[in-house]
Amino acid sequence: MSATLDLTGEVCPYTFVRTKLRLEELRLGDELLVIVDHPPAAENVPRSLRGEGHEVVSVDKDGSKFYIRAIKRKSHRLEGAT
Amino acid sequence: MDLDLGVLIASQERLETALSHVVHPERTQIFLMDDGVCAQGAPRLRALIDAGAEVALCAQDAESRGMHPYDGGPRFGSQYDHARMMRDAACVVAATHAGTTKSRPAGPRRRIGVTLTADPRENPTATVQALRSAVGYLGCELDVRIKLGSRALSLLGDEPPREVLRHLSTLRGLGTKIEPLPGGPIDVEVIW
Repeated sequence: MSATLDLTGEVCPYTFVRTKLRLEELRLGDELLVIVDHPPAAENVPRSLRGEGHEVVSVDKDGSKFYIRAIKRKSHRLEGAT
Repeated sequence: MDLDLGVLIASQERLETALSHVVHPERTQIFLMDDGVCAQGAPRLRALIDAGAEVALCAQDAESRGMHPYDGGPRFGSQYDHARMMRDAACVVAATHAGTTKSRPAGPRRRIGVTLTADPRENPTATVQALRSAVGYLGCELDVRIKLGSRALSLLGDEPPREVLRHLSTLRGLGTKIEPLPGGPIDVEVIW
């Protein structure tokens, strides 16, 4: 299964917190595509993903947006952030 | 790297006090945020980077002040770096405008106390920075307690400042206790 999380316009810390929450809804081995438009987030979101045990497959840039593909490799548990 | 010491610097004026706690740079992580990012070029900080300390800063706070990364300087990081440092360091020094604390939590599961001392209506910046830090801590599965000094109690009212609404909503949605001082026990304290 794959899912997409569009974080265009989102600010820290919600970039990595919302990414983590979205991953909670997926199964191990599922893929998540995270879209960001803040250049530091293109490095920091992958860093948080690897730091929490997930696999970052690729980070691609298209125009002003960055597309981060990750695979869920570990289970965590948070509740709901808005 | 075994992380002996994590140093949060959220106030440029407290830089030297905070860095005085560094004994083993190669086992130290430093995170700059708020106007602490203004110290990114400080010679003492550069020396610690050269000695092996991991130094990152909040890219959002730096960019809002017109700063850019440079070779040999701190890495432009995020609140994830901050939260992970709070989770992993054996000893935590937290230096903000409100003061400096030093905590040595025991055990892997630690409770972070974020103490607000300013009136959010008079100083929304400090409150915003404190609460967004707290959201970041939750993102690293830390147990967070928000403690309110007498001047910060308006956060419990019906109309907290607009700037903090999202952070408060997130913290409450994730089950965070927001309570007047003294509040419950904590292992690491950050005072804003």
